[in-house]
Amino acid sequence: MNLLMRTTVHSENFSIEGFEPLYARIGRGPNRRGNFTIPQRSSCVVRRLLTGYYVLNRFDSKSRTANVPLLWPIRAPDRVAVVELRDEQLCFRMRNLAFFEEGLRLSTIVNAQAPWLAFESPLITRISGSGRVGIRIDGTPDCISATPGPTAPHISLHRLAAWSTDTRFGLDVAPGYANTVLVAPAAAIVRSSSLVIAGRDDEKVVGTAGLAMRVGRLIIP
Amino acid sequence: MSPFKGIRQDDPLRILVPIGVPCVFLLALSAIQPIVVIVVILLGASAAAIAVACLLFRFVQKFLRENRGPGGTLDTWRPTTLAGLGSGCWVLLQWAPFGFLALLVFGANGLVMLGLEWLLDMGIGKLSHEAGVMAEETASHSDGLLGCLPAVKERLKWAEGELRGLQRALYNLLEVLKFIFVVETYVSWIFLAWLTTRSVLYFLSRRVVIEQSLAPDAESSPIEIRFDMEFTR
Repeated sequence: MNLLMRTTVHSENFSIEGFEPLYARIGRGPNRRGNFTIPQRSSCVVRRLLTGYYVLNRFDSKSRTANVPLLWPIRAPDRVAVVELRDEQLCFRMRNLAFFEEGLRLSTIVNAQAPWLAFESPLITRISGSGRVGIRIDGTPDCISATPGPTAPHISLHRLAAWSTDTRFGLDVAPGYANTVLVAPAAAIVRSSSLVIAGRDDEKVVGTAGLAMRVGRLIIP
Repeated sequence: MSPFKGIRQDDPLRILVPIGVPCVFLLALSAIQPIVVIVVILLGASAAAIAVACLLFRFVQKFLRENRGPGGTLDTWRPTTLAGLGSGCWVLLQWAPFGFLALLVFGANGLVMLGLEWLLDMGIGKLSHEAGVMAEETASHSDGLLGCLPAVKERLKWAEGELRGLQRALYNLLEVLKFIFVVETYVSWIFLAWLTTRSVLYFLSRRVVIEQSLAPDAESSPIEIRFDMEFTR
C-alpha cells in the first residue's frame, strides 16, 4: 500500500485517540494543559528556532483520565493531512508541520543541485521512521502520486508542503533577468513520487507567496 | 610525459580556467596600466567568489555522491573562456547590490563599535577630569574658605564620590554594551558568510538554469531534482 493510500485529509476536528504521544507547536492542538518539552534537541536546530518549533507541546492521549475524546482542532480554511509513515521518509516545510508522533525522527538533508538551489534553500527538513505526521495546509490540498509518464502534474513550488524522498522533480522556469532578480516562483513537474502534498491552485483560498516571503526563504538557513 | 588532453568534464578546473586565465591576463596588464588594477580587483573578486562557490558545489555534490546519473552539478553547462567570464561577471553584477547591502548592514556593527569606544573614551575621560578638578579644588581651598564651611566641604566630597560612582557605573554599562556588540558582530559575520555563500550560489544556479533553458535543444528542465540524499544530520 503506497504512501498516498495512507494519507488522510481532515477538514474538521478529528480524534487523535490511539495515536502515540505526539509533539505539536505551542498554541496548536487540543485545548488542554501544556506539557512543554524539547524533543530531539540537536535535530534541525536553526530551522526549528527560527520557526518556533524548538520547544514543543507533548500530547499523550493514553495518559488522560477524562472520557471526552481528544480532538485535533481544525480552523477553516485549514486542512490537516495525516500521513502514516512505515519506515519511510518525508520532506516537508517546517511551517506546514502540525504534529508528529514520538517515534519519528527529524533530520536535515542538503540538496545542492543547481535547479533546486535556484529556488529553494539547500537545507530541507525530513522526517523518517514509523508513525503519523500531520501536515497543515491552507485550503484543500492536492495529494499527488505520480509515476514516470508523459502527463506529469505541475505544482507551484511555493505551494509545496511535503513530499516523499523518492520524489523526482523537474522545474518549469521562465528565463529572464526580471525573473532572476524578483525571485520568480517556478513550477515543479512531478515526474515520479509516492506522495506530494501541495496547496491547491485556488487564489481564493491560497494566497501567492509574496516577494518578502520568497526572499526570506532564500536567506533564512 | 603524456600530452595534455584537455580538462576532464568532471574537473573543477573546467570552470576555473575560463575565468582564471583572463584574470591572470588582466593582472599582467595592470602592471603596465595601473588603472586596470580596479578592473582586476573587481574581476578577481568575482572569479574568487565563483571559484569558491563552484568548489563548494563540487565538494558538496561529491560528498552527496550526486555525480552519478545525469545532471546534479554544473555538468550540463560547458562555458567557453569568454562565456565563462561573461557569466561570472553577470553573476557578480546581479549579486553585487545584494552583497553590498548585506555588507552595509553588517558593517554598521563596526561603526557602532567605533562609536561606543569613542563614547567610552570621551565620557570616562571627561568624568575623571571633572572629578580630578573637583578633588583638587576641594583640597586647595580646604584651609581657606572651605575650612570655615565644613558642611560645604562635606557636600563637595560627597559630590566627588558620587561623580566617581557615576563614572564607574557608566564605564561598566558601556563595557557590557561593548561586549554585547562584540558577540553580535561574531554572529553577524557568521550570518554574513552564510548569506554570501547562499546568494552567490543562488545567482550562479539561476544563471545555470537560464543557460540551460536558453540552449536550442534544451528541454524545460533536463535535470531531475532528487531528495534521497545520504548526507544528513
